[in-house]
Amino acid sequence: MAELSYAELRALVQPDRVHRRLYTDPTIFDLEMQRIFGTAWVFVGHASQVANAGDFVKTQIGRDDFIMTRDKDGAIHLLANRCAHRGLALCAHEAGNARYFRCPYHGWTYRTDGTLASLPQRPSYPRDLRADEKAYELAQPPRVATYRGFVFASLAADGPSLDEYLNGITHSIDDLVDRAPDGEIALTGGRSRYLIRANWKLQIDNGVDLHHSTYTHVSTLDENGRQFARHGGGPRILIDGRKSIDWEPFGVVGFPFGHGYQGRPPVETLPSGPVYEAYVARLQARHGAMRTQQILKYDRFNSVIYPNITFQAFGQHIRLVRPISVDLTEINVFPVHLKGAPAELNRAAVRSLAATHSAASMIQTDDIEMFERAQLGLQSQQEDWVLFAGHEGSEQPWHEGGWRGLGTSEFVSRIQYAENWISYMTGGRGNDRLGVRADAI
Amino acid sequence: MIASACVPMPSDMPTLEEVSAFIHRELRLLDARQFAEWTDLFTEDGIYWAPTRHNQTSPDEAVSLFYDDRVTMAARIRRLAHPDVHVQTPPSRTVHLVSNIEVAPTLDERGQVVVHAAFLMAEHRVGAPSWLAGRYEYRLRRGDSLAIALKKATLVNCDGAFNAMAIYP
Repeated sequence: MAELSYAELRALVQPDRVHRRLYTDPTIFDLEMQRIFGTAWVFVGHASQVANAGDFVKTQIGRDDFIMTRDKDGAIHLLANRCAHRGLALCAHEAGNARYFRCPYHGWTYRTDGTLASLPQRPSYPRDLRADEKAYELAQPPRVATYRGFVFASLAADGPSLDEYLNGITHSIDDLVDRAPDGEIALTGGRSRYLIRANWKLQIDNGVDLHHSTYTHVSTLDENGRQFARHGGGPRILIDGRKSIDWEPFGVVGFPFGHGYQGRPPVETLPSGPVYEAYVARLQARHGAMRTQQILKYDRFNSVIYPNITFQAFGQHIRLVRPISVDLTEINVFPVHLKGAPAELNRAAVRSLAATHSAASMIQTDDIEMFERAQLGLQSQQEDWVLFAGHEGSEQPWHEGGWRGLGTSEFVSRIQYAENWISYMTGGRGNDRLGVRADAI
Repeated sequence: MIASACVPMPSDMPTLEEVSAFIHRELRLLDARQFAEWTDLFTEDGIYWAPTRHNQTSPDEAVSLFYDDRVTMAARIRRLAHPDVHVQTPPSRTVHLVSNIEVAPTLDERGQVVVHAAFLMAEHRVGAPSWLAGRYEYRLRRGDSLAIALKKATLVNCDGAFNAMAIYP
């Protein structure tokens, strides 16, 4: 792999701009896979995807395939999908339930915790085979941890704990999970998969960008300037024809390690009808009236957990960003099942995803087009810089931790690049301010 | 099912020729971007459905690529006519090919004609042309003319990852 020096990497990121090579250079992409996805806490799935002993689901950390399993004792494991013998991709299924994973080539067989269960022709293998057979286990990330069922893995043995890493963005996870009357969510409604012929960071940049809606999504607005009439009431994006809404008061929030969320206009009318009333009653039974009212006010759109998920309580989904190459990204969108909520409400979340976030949806497709045009435009050698200069210096400390800026501020992206991205890429652990940066690369 | 519960084949069961002509016209309207006329081929409660699983029986079981009732169809078509529908700037050119059309010998439990077919859709917009293939299942109602109560398009790779799609396969 071609190397970039510390000075070369530093020169690519300025306080208010980044070099186009961040989006177009395969060498940088390879380094990102190694230094960002190879060290950060990466979202790999949700515990509900492996609800029972023996359940498994395929996932990725960066470009590497893993199998997320639940072993017979109930523990979750991330197993490299690579036979310890000749390196074959062990599991060909996307998901299922199994007692063992047997390599189809020579029959090496593993338990769901990754340990070796049997090795055919065992006597022909080296006499110094260690007693614990560890050398023949499936590789596992050194650190796996969960927060409210969200499973994260880090390929680095050292670095911040998951709690330190997530910091204030846990409020957004709570905001989503607390909407389930049983206090748990489940990813049981399948997944929508779309491809972006563009760099993965374009989807992450977009997750903290409120302002684009006015222009990107103009074709989905009704005569009142509203984007559909989704549950909770669609936001009014345009007023008086093309005069844009004033996004500033809603704000964007950013946290250390590059996480953040978009504020949103207040919900004008909460849904009504027997299904919604039954839902509210179940929430009140668990939380009481006051906390329920707090839970049900939508104060945020997208939340982003750097580097690879965005999610919405409002749209009731989690979106996973899977980088494939410098100019190709796969996105998986999972509808969120709120346990204990009326079936009708959960069904609506599964159905509405077709209109909002499938490959054929009316909203997401315009974003995809923007990302792909950005990728095309950034091929141009006529200009090197991509600007994130909006409302520079306006952000203020925020009560959940981190900072809050005006609605069209681009400060969350500025932090992601100038503090987090550059820290990882120069050998740190994603946040120079916290002093966890390693010395050398 | 006991024999007496079978819905007898009515004398006005459409012929393969009638059904084929109806579907050929339906697909030509899509290719010609006459979306409003295309929508009018559906019954008031008609559904266009492209699932993400093979043999998917319910839109609640897993997400769909498309699950459009007439209201959603109208929103989609209004959007396709908008001057700033970015994913259709420039617009796609499509050709829908249909083959292997079979009209089931009996009506379904709601008295609808069941039609199976195979399809191929070529699309060109920017870059290289692309292709989608799969199977159609139609449920048609017979009134003054045929009308679509359900069109289910199951792509061979329905569980795969897709580039942005703006036109109904």
